[in-house]
Amino acid sequence: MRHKIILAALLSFASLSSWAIDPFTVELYQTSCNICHGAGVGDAPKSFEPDAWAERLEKGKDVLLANAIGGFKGMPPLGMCSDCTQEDLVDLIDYMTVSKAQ
Amino acid sequence: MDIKKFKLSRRHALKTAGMGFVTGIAGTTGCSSTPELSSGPQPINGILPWSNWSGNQVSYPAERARPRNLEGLVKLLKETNGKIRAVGAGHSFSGLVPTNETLLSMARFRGISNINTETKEVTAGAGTRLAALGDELWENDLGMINMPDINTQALAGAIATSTHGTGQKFGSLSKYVTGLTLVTASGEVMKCSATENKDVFDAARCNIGSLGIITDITMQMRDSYYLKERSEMLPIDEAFEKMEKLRLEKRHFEAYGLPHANHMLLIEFDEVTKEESDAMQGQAASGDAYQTFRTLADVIDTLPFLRGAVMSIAPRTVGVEERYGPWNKIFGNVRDMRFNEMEYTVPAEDGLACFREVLNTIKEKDIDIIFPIEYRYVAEDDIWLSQFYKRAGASISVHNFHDKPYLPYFAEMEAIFDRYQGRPHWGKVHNKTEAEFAALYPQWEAFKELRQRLDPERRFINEHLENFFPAIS
Repeated sequence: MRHKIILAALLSFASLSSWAIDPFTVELYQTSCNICHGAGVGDAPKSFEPDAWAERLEKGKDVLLANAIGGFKGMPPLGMCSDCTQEDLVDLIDYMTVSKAQ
Repeated sequence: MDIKKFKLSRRHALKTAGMGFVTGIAGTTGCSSTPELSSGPQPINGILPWSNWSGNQVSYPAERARPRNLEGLVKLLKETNGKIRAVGAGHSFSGLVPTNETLLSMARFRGISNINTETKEVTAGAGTRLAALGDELWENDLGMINMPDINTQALAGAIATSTHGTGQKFGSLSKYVTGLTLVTASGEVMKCSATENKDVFDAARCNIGSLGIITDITMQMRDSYYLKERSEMLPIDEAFEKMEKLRLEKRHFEAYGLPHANHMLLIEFDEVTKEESDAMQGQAASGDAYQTFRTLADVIDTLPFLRGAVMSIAPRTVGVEERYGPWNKIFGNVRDMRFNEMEYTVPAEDGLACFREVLNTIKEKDIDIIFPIEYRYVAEDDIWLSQFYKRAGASISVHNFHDKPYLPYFAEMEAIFDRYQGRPHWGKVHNKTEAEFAALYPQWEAFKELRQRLDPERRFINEHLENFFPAIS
């Protein structure tokens, strides 16, 4: 019973996450992230390709966030989104690291 | 600066040269380990740092505001009394943005809100990025009259600093502004144009964020068009001889002088028909220019005596390249290399002499730099603090990698620019004082008086601007 509840919760979360993408997050992505992550410029992991992010996610989302804040390799500080808040960056990481919702 | 114009990824010329040396020195660069965590600024006490694109400007804004609309912005200005700095794409290398008080994002003010199909004037939100504006204009069969080669900036930021492309017939983006809306420190909404609040209009078209918050900008556009770009590496004397002809005969052109080299890259642009563009459209250069130049820089760091050889031999292998396409695609380029930059505009008639002196000085003083020097022409305008105020200009830009020392090099170059009465780009590194600006800009005092009238509490003055607009005692 407990497992069923957890499974139901996970399914509803997965469903919600695909339904609840903030259009503003998509706009921020198009404005700031897509230019490199869309095509994988400079070896940037490609958006919506979870395999490209798997190794990075293993280190923890806090590491991804720290790298987005401070800049990493070719990525500038705040990842080309100079006016993003921390919440924006978290939303963008969540958006880019999973398959694109249909 | 668009390093991809060297077409390195296609020719691999410099990379090949660089990698050959790397192989020879057994892993001094190629085997370096990559850090796993950013070395950039991180939150302190829960406050997210702000940093510009290159990382040379950092601050910790206590508040971040992002009003949803004009009413929200007016409310913010009326109900608060602290200092506010607006941020766009963070592409300025000078201290225009840093604040430890309120950082204002205009990200909710994006996109085209009006197109006058008769006059081809277009109104867009302050936070609209140039690349997005270009795409939207293209969809409406319109084009910007001219454009910089970096297109990631926010429109209001580009206007605030008289950001420009190249071409003796073309002014900076600010020159094509025909109207704007400014919200002052007290929350007053001012419409400004050549016929309404003209003094504010003449100041606000290059405002360095010091007059208020601009919410929308109307610009003169034109019908859409196609461009052909042709680049060619020439021996330096031949290049200098050809530049005046290119200035006069081509739609626009720019040059990249290679430090410590005897070659220069000339890039010329002409308008072409859709049919010609479609027939010739090829793959744009993309990829590894950054890594190529990093490799060269690392090689030269390790074996500095090879710098002259590398910089002389490699350019000879770069041939003629051509690229065709829609205006917004030819102008705009992906920026995957971070750098710091200084740019000064000298009188157009002195441009070539100044450019030659810059290149000669780098050689004579053996300045440790491989980054190309960019040379462009820009038409004059009547905007009070524009680098091109009543003076057609030649803009010369010097750069270094974002993680390499740049201040001593820039200081050497600034001394040269000063001898030619150079005016610095407001968004790039400079060391000008208020007295020097007063001598360079005939309307300096008028701007200061207007600024004081619009912002008596000095809400839009940060530490950087305090140097030029000190409090009146």
